[in-house]
Amino acid sequence: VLGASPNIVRAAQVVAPRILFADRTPPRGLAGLLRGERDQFFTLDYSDERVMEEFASVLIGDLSPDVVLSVTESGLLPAARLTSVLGLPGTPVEVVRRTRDKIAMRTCLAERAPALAWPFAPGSDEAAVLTLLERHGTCILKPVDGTASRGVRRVEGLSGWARISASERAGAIVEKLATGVEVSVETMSHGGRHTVVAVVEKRTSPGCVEVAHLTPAPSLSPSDLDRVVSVTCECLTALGLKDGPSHTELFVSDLEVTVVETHNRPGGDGIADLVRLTTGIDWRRASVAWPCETLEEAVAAGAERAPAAAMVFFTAAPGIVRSVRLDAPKLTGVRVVSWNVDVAPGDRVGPLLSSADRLGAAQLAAGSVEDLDRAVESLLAGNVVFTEDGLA
Amino acid sequence: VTTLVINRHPLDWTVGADGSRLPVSPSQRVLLTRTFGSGLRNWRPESFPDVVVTDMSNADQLEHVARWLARTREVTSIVSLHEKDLLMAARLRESRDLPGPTPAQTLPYRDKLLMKRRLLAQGYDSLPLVLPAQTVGSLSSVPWTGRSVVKSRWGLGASEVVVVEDDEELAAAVDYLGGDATRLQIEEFIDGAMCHVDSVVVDGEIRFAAVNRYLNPPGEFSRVRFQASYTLPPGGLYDELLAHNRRVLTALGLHDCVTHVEFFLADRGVVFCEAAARPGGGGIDKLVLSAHGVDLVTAAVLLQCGVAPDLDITSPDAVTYGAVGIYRNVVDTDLTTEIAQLGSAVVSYEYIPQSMPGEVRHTTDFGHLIVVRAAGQSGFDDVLTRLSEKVDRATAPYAEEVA
Repeated sequence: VLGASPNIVRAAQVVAPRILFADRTPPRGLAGLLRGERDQFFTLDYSDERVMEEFASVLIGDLSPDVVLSVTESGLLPAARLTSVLGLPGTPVEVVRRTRDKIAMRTCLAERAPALAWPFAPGSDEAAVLTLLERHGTCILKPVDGTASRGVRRVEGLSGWARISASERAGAIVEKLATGVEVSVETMSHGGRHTVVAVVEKRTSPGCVEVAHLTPAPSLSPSDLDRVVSVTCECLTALGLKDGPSHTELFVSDLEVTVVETHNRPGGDGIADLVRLTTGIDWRRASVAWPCETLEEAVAAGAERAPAAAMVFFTAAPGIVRSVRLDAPKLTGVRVVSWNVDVAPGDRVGPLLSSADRLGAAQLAAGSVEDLDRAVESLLAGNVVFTEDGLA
Repeated sequence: VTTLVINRHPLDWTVGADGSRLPVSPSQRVLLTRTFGSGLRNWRPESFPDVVVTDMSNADQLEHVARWLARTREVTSIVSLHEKDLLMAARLRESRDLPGPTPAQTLPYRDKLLMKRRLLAQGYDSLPLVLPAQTVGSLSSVPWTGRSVVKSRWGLGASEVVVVEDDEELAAAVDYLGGDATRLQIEEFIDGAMCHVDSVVVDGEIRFAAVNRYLNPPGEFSRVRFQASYTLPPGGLYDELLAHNRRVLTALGLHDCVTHVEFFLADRGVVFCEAAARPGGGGIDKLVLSAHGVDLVTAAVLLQCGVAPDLDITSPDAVTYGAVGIYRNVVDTDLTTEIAQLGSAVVSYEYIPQSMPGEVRHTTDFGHLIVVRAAGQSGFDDVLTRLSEKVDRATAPYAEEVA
């Protein structure tokens, strides 16, 4: 398992009798994480291909793994490469590459699933970008291999493009702006059969940073959901993903369902907790246990199954924190599962440019989608962290 | 400069959990260790950011991983203090042209049969008669009388040793010790107390040697509650053992290392038992540090890094120092309060919580280690008696419970 957080380590240990963990840096408390001689740990920079080739030479005999996994973005391609070098079953390198590289994904979908094609241009192809902007007006620029909303920005026509620096253009993709309800879909695939585990509605800031996830998606009708499931499965099949978890992001409008991106890993941002709260499935466990157990087996014993659940991230205007709400307010029909504010009075709050700039989070379970939606909107209204103008 | 540490001991003993025994900074350290036996005890990423934790029960696999680390981290020195890993570390050094003990230098201190043959060949004959086990069909044919000792040529300390009296016991012992007679030796049983001499060898010279006596023969660890090593006063036996130690080390080869050599005090005089090119276990390092101011473990680490240790040897005094180990199956609670009642006789006390529960398998499987000081032999005996009473009191509730 490459690049596993302590949560993933513990999830993997539930199902795997012996595990080799590898990460760039060892986690604090390593001794407590490992199960004696059953688990081993290797410090290595798995993003370095040469390092991984050398490491493969060690994985023989008793150290030979049955499967190589990663559920962290930076570990997906190295895990696929190691899988290939060791001749193990798993997702091929080219499939992972299509999910990591948004230009490769768009190209593949255009070829194999024309109904899912979406106008785009590489940021380095000036002529193609200008054509795209002339034809569609507002577009979105994002890093080809980016995650966590980093580097995502709107490009308002040709004048907007002129303000984009050469360094931002390099390694970026420019796409026609997709509109509608933004959702993500958690799926598990076995032998090319895709099972949708959850559809999660996303709320974002004006700067495209994710500030809430809700499931079930309050804004989708049953027919919308059908279209989401259909497009997701078609997308995964077209990309060649046959086994394991995936996290696909889409925009849903009355006219179309647009694939934004997909990854062969579970969603982050606490989405695994929302899956557990609403379905009982231990999604972290399932995401590493899929080679040896079914989704049903990953259902936590005695698990709660709330009708709806959400993650809400706290934000505030840039400035100095004046006060914070340390305890959750009363929210009708909603149970606050967790409430964590990461800043304190006196802290400096900067602009909300990526997920890392968020100021804490609450996890909610609700008796109905309507109650959940109201609670999320209430918390997003900005009554948790209060700032005043300062040096931020 | 990068140092690879291959560790099986509690990490804070080997190189210090903070790596303070090593002459290199954290970014120049690579730690290959295990969880078993407290190999990660008190580990912190700040001290050893590059760590590999593996299963060391498979020697081939361990060597494979060690070679991978030595190659990919481009290590310039290798530290390895555990008996099981000395030869492997030497092979790695040789293959990468690194400083430190070579296989040729290490082997006579590792293979107990070769060790005795080398000593004989060099004219040192104060040792037990010994034969390769595969050459002994029946004990009736061995050139000695009385009991025989079957032991692994590659064993650790007093483990993998069986005393036998007849052929039936011999066959059972060979079976018990793995069944491969080529890995075993048979020698005459030597009766008597045991002593050990711990030395630091630098540039072909014995720069330091400490002479100590065991309270009980190490092989009796399963039958006693305590084991102890204590200092011998200069003169007489002390000098005789120093002379034997010099002859043994000279015959086996004087390379940069710390050595631990054991002798019997038999009716026929001082008889060699065995030697190792590593610091002695069971608190001997603490005993020597208290009595002589020499840190044997640090000296061993530095020598393997190609650095000459600064031996600040203190002059011997009339005080008897002892390192007393209480076996971990005797009492498993912290005895700090009880030991403190021994007053100024106590130099240090360490409670070693059971990281490896179960039977005592080695002569150094202590749950408590106390370094004491007393005025001469009689004073030391008195401290032992008082210590024994404290342990009796601490174990009484268990005894009542069992009754």
